[in-house]
Amino acid sequence: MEITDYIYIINLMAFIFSYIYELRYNLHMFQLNGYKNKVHLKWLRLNRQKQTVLVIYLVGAVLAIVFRKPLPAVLTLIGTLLVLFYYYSLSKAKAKKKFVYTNRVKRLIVTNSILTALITGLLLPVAALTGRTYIQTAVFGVSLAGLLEPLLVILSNIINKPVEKSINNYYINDAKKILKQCPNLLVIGITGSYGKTSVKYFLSTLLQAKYNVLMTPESYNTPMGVVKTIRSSLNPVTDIFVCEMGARNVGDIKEICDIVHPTHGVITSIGPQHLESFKTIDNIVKTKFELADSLPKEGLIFLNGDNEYILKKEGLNNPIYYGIDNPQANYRAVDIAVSSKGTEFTIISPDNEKVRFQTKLLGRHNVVNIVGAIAVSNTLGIPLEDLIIPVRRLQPVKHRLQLIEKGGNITIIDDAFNSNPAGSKAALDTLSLFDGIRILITPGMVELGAKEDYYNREFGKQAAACCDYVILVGKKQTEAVREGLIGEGFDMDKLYVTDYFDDAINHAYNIRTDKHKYILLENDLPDNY
Amino acid sequence: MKIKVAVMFGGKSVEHEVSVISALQAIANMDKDKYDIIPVYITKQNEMYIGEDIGNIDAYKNIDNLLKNSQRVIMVNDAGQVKLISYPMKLFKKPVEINIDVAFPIVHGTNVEDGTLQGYLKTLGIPFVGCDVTASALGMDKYYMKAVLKDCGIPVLDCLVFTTSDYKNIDKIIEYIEKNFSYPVIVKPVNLGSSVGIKMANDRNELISAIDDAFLYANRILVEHGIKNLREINCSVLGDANEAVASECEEPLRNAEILSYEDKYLSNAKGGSKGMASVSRKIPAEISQELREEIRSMAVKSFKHLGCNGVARIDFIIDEDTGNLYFNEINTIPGSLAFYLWEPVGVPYKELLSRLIDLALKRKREEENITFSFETNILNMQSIGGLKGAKNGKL
Repeated sequence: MEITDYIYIINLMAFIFSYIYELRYNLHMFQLNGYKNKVHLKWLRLNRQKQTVLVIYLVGAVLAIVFRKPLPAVLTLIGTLLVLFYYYSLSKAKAKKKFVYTNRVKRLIVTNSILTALITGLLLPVAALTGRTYIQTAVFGVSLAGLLEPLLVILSNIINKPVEKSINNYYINDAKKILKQCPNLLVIGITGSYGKTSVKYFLSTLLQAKYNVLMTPESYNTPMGVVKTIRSSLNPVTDIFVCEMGARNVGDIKEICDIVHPTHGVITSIGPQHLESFKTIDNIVKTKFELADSLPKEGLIFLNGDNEYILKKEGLNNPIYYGIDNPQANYRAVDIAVSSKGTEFTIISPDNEKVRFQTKLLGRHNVVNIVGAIAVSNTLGIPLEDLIIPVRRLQPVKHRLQLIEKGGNITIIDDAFNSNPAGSKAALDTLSLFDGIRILITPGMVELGAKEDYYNREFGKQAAACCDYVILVGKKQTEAVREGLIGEGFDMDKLYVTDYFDDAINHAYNIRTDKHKYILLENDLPDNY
Repeated sequence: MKIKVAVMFGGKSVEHEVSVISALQAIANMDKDKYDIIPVYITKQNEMYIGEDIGNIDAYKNIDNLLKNSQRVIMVNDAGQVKLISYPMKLFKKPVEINIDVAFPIVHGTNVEDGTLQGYLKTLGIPFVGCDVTASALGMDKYYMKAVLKDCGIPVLDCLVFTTSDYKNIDKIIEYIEKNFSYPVIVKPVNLGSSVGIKMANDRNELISAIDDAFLYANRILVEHGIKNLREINCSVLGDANEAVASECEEPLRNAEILSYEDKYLSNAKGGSKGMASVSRKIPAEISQELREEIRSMAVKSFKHLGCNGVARIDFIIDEDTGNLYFNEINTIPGSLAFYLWEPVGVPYKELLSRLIDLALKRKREEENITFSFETNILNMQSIGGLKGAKNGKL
């Protein structure tokens, strides 16, 4: 053993730690990308600069296999330590959506570790043939494995696929079995490009006036999220299960429907969201209406009657329309009075009954969502009168136009949740209701496919009309919004562009004025952007 | 999946046996298509037992034997699901675990009906049938109950309250009572139901022995003017503080001057375990339509003001000499759950029991809604910063 060999041994030990943090980061991102190989590959390509540090491993591998001298060995070690430090600091950074050690992740870690060991192990015989030491070859092997790690995550996922599938099938069948044991359970499916989470919350609250309701929590809206809710929370007391159904691809809604078999359905809206995966708006329409197609013969489909894409759909079984603008809607809100304190409106039911409602929620689009919830509740046997109090008690859903008084002269309107063109327009409309200095903080919108720039430019134009100040987060990301603002002649002195959210908030706080400041936080991008 | 209901009865109370009868009667009448019923017997030492024989009235003739053949359990909340788990745990043996969706306490008297058991169930976080802690406690304390009802204009008899420290000087008590009331007077323990320890006194000697007797059962007693010519009319109420309805009225028939414990539960000893349902009574009470309505609406009003939930029986008294009507007492868990007052107005026992369970679930829903609205309001800037400040704030 020479000194070089000892250095290489230390390198091997350092590698173990660096491997752990590198794997953690890549698995975290993989988790955020929904364990989807294609999505993750694309993400890796787009964000390759985030992991350029791995070039060090390539250099290390070459050094290790060519030289058996102390200096290259030390260089390799320093390289490994640098990689370790980089990924370690990434793991310490605050994440919006934390890494969760699910059982699936644990299985990925096992497969991944075996792969890494295999790569290194298979190279060892090479050492004997080429006259290099085993230690040298081992360092070469692990460095290569480290370099390929981001891809190994995907490979592990491919290897684990059959196992994952059978495990998922077990859970799905278990959930189906539980549902079978509840023959009287009413399942209401909710889908839509936007508004589905709000309608889910509103509907659950209203139905609780009479029924025991279970809803999928937060934004659980994938097949496995739904299955998890059923297996952990559905109990014999439940009368109604309100199930949010999300979709990114054609067939996603049908997949969930095949598990829960909804009795009734609600389609809250159809619009250009997730266009990247859907390709065309027709595909979105088709996917959302998979819910209507899955209903039994007596099943009712509640539809947002103000939405152009929904209205175009014909040949539906038992449609019930709700809305504001459409005079043909079965449940309609009229005489809407919107203020910064809340909203009032009158509901006209199909029986021509008229009841006045009040809510502290803001904005017209919330009224549409509440009308939807009222339509379902009333149809399921709760008199309109009995809904007055639950509607008054409705709470804003977190990060969806949620009003937060910060004391002093600052009010924050938190609309950070996944934004879309209609939603951001509604948020700006709401902001314009407030009398004071109106400040917009936004990173723009994403996942809108080919028309992303167009929608962002439009957003910029709308913002120019009602905001006193605009703060854009992310220079590259917000270019189109900026163009929109400039196009409308927005005062450049009142535009601020930064790469950091904290800086944006500080900037907004430091704007000097005697008037009340209303800060709209529009959209928030996940960690993988 | 049926709703799993734990019917809990017994407990450390003088009305232990009555509760066993009431509970087993209720179990026999519950809708078996909707509910899985788990009878849970609480011993006089407050230990809980389940098992085959726990639901069998004959087994209670020999309680030692019954307990030997039954499984002791404890109630725990495990990640939001309340369970009965066998206790003590045995090595190498998997404990029995039974999930419970709703608890149905059918217990009578102090230490159980007075909010004690209700508080326990509330801490465990399981929905339960009947009054909440506050209403249960108020319903058991005859003095506080009067105070609350007086405040909302329900007629109650004036009373004097004495504690054990007053009891040290009984002559002073007598003097004070005689100054305020004329004989006869009624002496009652403040917090007992089922007529235990209640005595009418026509003179000083009887008063002394009545006070002595009452202090055997309680640390606080209450004395009120005794009505010579009285009629008792009872009415049951079903619902919650927002919405409640009254049942038919009944008039219990009395042998002694007040309906005694013996009258209530031991009068037809031969017939055995019929509980309150077997006390001789007139249903409907022979009263005028107006009086019936007055009693029924007063019953609903009292029920709501005391914040009751579930089914309660309210006992009224009428002073025949003056024609005055008084609220006398409330039973928040009445014997036999007062089902015999509901059948005449078209609510079969089975339906009454189902409605009680629905009320329990409704209250749980409402409580959860209130908590929910708190959660969303505690956001502050820091949490937003934390949420957004990913990677040193870089987006």
